[in-house]
Amino acid sequence: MSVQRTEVAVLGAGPAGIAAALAAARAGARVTILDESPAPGGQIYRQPPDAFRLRRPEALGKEYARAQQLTRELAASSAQFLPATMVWGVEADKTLLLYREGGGASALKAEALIVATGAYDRPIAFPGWTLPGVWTAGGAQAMLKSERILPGRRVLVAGAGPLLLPVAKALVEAGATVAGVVEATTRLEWALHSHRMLGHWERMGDAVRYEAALLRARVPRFFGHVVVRAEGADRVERATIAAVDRQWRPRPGSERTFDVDLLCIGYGFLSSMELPRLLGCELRYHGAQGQHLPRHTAEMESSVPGVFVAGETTGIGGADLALAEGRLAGLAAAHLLGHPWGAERQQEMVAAQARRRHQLGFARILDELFAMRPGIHELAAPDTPLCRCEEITVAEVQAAVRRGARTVRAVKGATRVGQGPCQGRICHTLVAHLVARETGRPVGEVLDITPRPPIKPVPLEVLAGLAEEKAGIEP
Amino acid sequence: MREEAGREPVVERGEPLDLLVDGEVIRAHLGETIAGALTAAGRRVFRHAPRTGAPRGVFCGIGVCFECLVTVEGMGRVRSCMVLVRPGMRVSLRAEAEASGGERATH
Amino acid sequence: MSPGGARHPDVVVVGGGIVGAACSYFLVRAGLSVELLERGFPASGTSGACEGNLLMWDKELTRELPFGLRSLALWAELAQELEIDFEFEPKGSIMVVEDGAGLEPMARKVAELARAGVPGTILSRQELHAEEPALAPDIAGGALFPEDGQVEPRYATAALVEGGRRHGLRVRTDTAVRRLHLGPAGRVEAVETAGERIPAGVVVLAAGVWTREIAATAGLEVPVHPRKGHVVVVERAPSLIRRKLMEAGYVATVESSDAALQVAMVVEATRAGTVLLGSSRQLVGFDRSVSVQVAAAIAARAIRFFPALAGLRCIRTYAGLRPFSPDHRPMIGPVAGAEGVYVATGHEGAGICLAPATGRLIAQWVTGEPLDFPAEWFRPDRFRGQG
Repeated sequence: MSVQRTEVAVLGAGPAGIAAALAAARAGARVTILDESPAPGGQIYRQPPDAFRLRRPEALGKEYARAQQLTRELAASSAQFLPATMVWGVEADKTLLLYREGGGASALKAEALIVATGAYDRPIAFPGWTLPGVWTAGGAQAMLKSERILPGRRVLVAGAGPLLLPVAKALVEAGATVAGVVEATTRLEWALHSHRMLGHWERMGDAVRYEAALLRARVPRFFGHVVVRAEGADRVERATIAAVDRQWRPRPGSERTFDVDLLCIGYGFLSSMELPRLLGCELRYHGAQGQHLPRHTAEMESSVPGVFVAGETTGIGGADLALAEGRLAGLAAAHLLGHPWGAERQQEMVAAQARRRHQLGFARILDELFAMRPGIHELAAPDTPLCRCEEITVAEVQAAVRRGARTVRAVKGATRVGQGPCQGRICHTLVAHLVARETGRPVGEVLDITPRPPIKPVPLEVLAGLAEEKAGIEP
Repeated sequence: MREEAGREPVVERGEPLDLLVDGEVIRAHLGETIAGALTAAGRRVFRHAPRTGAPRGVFCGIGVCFECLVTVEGMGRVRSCMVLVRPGMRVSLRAEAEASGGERATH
Repeated sequence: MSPGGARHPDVVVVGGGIVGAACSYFLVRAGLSVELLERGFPASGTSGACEGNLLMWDKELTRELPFGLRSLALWAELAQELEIDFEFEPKGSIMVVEDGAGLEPMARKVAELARAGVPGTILSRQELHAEEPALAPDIAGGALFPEDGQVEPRYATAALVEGGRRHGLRVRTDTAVRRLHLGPAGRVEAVETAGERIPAGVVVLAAGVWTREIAATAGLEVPVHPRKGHVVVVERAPSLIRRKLMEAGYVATVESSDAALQVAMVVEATRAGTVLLGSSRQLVGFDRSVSVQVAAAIAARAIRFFPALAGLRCIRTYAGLRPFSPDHRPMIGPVAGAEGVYVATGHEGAGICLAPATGRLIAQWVTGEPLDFPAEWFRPDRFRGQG
């Protein structure tokens, strides 16, 4: 197996990763950046594949233009991009173990790491959530953005947060009938936070554009409602929503059912923490975002020297924040490795930090407005699976708690929760919320996860390959 | 459905190719993922869950949930949302169903 | 006898792994009031990091084997008796001989075991491949032991705990024992946790590798040490592997006291359809973190025997600490010079298999019932004076 050397390894090629790679490369460092996807961009900057030819790029909006610009800059830089490549483990000496899907195994030894592995849609369980045709909002958006394929004709978009609007707009533009955009928060709550959004004009402009597009398409809007049920034989055929109180608990008698063939669920995001955990980064629980996040300095260095974190990895905050943090991390990594650091670099750093603070301000508003409320964790019925991979239901988790399990690990010790291929990414937080509710303990305390390789499933022969004689280290 | 059906196309898809899915020919284009091609062909049930046999399909769409697993000849079980189609690719949804056999309805 | 759950239990059992759970179960069934103290949750230690083997052919013939046969019979009874389903599968095991040189020793072993009450059939190369078609074609032969079995070790622990609860067992999780208190005459007085001092007339130390530390707080020496093992979990591949398989060289790794890494092929399918791969042995202290190098060695060895595993995905790995004693045999019984203190540990990779017989033996010791097995067989203080 070949072992490659680099100075700065950037893990993840979304906005944070690309910004980090560009900043580090410009500062003189040798950079290798990798991503599990075949092309850079992450989720928000997904673009149609190279194999497609663009007839009307202007129809793709300014996000596409930005994405194009960034990926072009990356391609023009000295940074090396490894596509379709995952990190599945880390050796004792911090060498990264890589696997390229359908290809080979390799290793990467870097002097500094920048973890920018992004986030994924927050899973929320409710009866019927495992039916084919129930997708995350992010998943629908990904398929629309990259492959321009529409996963359904009659769609309900439901959840809480800013992603619902662009997804609904994209669905409309692709030809779907959007039966409704269902938002758990209320117009009043938005209004109460609106004064804090002054200064974030671009964001407000975006929101207005989305609203206008949905208005033109006459897409019904439901505020203060959540999806309580999806039904169908082999695939989703009906979705039912209900009005909720301020704790997002359904009000009896307020149900409405829609005929759909696609239900898009978007309740915000969870940051991918597997790599920071495996690298030994210290984490801290953030109540507003409902997850553990790595501690880091103002220069984005984690508690592990030489390991930096940027983008959604430090907390959900959107593309602009990710770009600022990526730039900071890239600059700081190059600085750490002794690359020339003049006044210009220092100024770039200061500017990026200012941008970061500004973007954090907006991110905090969204955190508060769209934080999950208790009712959303109570929608699942006793026979609703929480662990999708292994089909472990609410009732089974409750039985484990009744027998004394007080943490997610203890529930894992009594059931098959988290033992499937997704390795708990979908179910850990769901189980944590249930255990917290049943035991009266804080979620942050019950959500205890032990990091172990492989952090993504990897062919056994790739694992076995380490046992053979390692090939010489390439300079 | 591919989104430009009946509308002015934003993109021109990659070279068309054929996938063989459990013996059935399904049209796809270079640049698409297996999940995309199956979805465009109207497929929603990709596999069946191991305990109850419940139908499952794409959920997260970005490679995190492992719901969209299909078996590809020469690659084994893969996340169809992460793997690009190639000419002559042989895909089985049935093999995944068998592979997930395990403990049907014993719990 | 004090009522179940009363302030002063008759017996305090320290350690909620399979052995502590079994001891607790048999003690309450014998009519005693028992409190089980577990520092984490049941099977959060070694019992939750192993494979659940119920194997006879790797047992030392004179003492361990009779003990193991008794234990296997008890497992079959418990599978009927206990409410929680712990996936008891009397599926049989196969000792796999990689090359021709190992066939004769294997045949001798089969004969030896048959004389000792363990039926086994020698399998030719063809017969072996008929039993397990996925084995590499060049594997020389093997032996089938049809009465060996497998359980899910965490569920088995939980089953014993729940079974015990039904008979009045009090279980306290998140409760680590810090000290053992002996009175001036060497009689046990109490155990001490973070929050309290629990008086006890009898204490059973079944805390696996952590037993030594607890015993030392009372000046007692229990020479049990951690021997680390890894398990690699492969995604669902039902019907690829039919029985539990181990290579003949497995026994040598158990018997060895080499600190360096030793790997011996162990492969089995679970009821869920996943495939568990082992085994590794190392002396690296109390570190439970997973080493990719060790996992790699296990994977490589498994692929050598089952080439079809190569393209399947590894989805998880974990590591545990086997409690091993200087002569690789368990320590079960009273501790001399510390009246009322018993030890039940040192099972080194056979803990799951031997737990029920251990539990019964401890219950016999504590209640004064006649012992199923001679007292000196598993005496905890047999190592005194060995330095």
